Amino acid sequence: MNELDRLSTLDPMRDFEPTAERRARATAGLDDLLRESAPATGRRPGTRWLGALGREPMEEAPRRGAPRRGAPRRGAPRRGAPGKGVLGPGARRSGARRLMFGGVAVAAAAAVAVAAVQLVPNGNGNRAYASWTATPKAVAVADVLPQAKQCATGWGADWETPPTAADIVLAERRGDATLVLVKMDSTALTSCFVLDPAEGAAGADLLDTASPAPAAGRVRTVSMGAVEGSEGWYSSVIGRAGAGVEKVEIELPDGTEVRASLRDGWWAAWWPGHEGGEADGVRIVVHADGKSRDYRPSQLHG
Amino acid sequence: MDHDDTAEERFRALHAATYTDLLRFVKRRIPDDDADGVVSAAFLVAWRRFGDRPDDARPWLFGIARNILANQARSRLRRGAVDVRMVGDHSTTEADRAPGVDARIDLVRAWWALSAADREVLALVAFDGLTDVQAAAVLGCHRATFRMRLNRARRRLRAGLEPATDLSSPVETWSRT
Repeated sequence: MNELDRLSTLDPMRDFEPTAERRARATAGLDDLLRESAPATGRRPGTRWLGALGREPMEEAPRRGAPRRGAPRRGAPRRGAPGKGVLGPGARRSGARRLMFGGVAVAAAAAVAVAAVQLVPNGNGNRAYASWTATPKAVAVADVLPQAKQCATGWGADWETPPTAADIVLAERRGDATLVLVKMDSTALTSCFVLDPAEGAAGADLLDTASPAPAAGRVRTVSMGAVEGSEGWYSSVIGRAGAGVEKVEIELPDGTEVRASLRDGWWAAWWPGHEGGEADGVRIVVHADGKSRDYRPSQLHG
Repeated sequence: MDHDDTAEERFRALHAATYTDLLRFVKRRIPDDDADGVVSAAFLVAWRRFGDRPDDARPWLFGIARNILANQARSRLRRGAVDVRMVGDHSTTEADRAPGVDARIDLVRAWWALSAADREVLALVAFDGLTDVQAAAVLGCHRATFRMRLNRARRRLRAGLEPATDLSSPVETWSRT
């Protein structure tokens, strides 16, 4: 008997069966649920951001005009509209794909986060993260090593050897904030955000490096989404670039052009706001071979 | 509408097939009083995302519930893991009367010496009965990553059970497959 088999004998729920009464209550709850809210219909490829590792996406873009629900159910997650006020209370959340730091270590990868995201008080469209710049500043890897180490610490025991400069694939600064792509234990690639140097790492993701590089002049997204951070929502997109890609820009609905950092076949950008979690909420403009083409994110993922 | 009727029927079938498993999954992680609320919230999310469900819906549902747990109480989030309860948590006297008591006490002790993150990956397999592919889906990580973590957690559990184990022996390697 190996240790997993031995453990399984201690399963606290090994012999648990719900009572008929409990099951009846659950079925009654199901009836309520089906009466009150319409289902999501159809699969919508590309409307969600790919989470860590680009596997089955767990995050979902907010849906405008989604059926409004009645009063919150007992025990149901709290809901609220993110920053810019475009989403009604019944709309799908653009929730935290990452579990956030905030004194707590980051999760390797979270699943859907519809629950317990705080209401963002300023729905007036003011962008937070005041020092943020649309054009990043490239930084020497040695200068971001402290941030990379902070990120590594957040993974706890999953990250065994502190990163060195050789592990850093891409690093950029936008105002006070640092975004770094850094190899975990010299193998898996992670992205990490240090938005406020005083707070340390805000979140991190494990990235999918398994799929082949895009063709020349093309790009692909590996991770895209929006997360609620300490100063409000922020979006990010990280991807790979084929040979000859000269520049990648993210065009926001308000016309802001966010210049992505590009290095060694990887590109990355982040910005205040939650457009990255919306269905094709931005356009991605790729410059290669002296020409530019713009894409919807759903054309670029996977 | 036919489509909606079909979706509703399918969702009812999913509920019937997974309700007990999901309730067990949640009750392994939080006290019974709160479990029904989390289960119903998870089904609400599942219904709203029903069109996006993967073929294997059970780990998908577990992942939804896990995240609700993580978000409802950040205090439950220890090193990024949703911690798992276990027989013996509050019942050492009961355990004392059971057969194989020494081995059992050792196991419980070794379990609690692990990190919450280790406990979570072990529990997904040993308690929740998931395959590595399914467990990776619950955590939203790559299968190879899950296997790496599971291997490490098993190694640490074994080390906890057998203090004489040479901790400097080679660690497991893993590869992307």
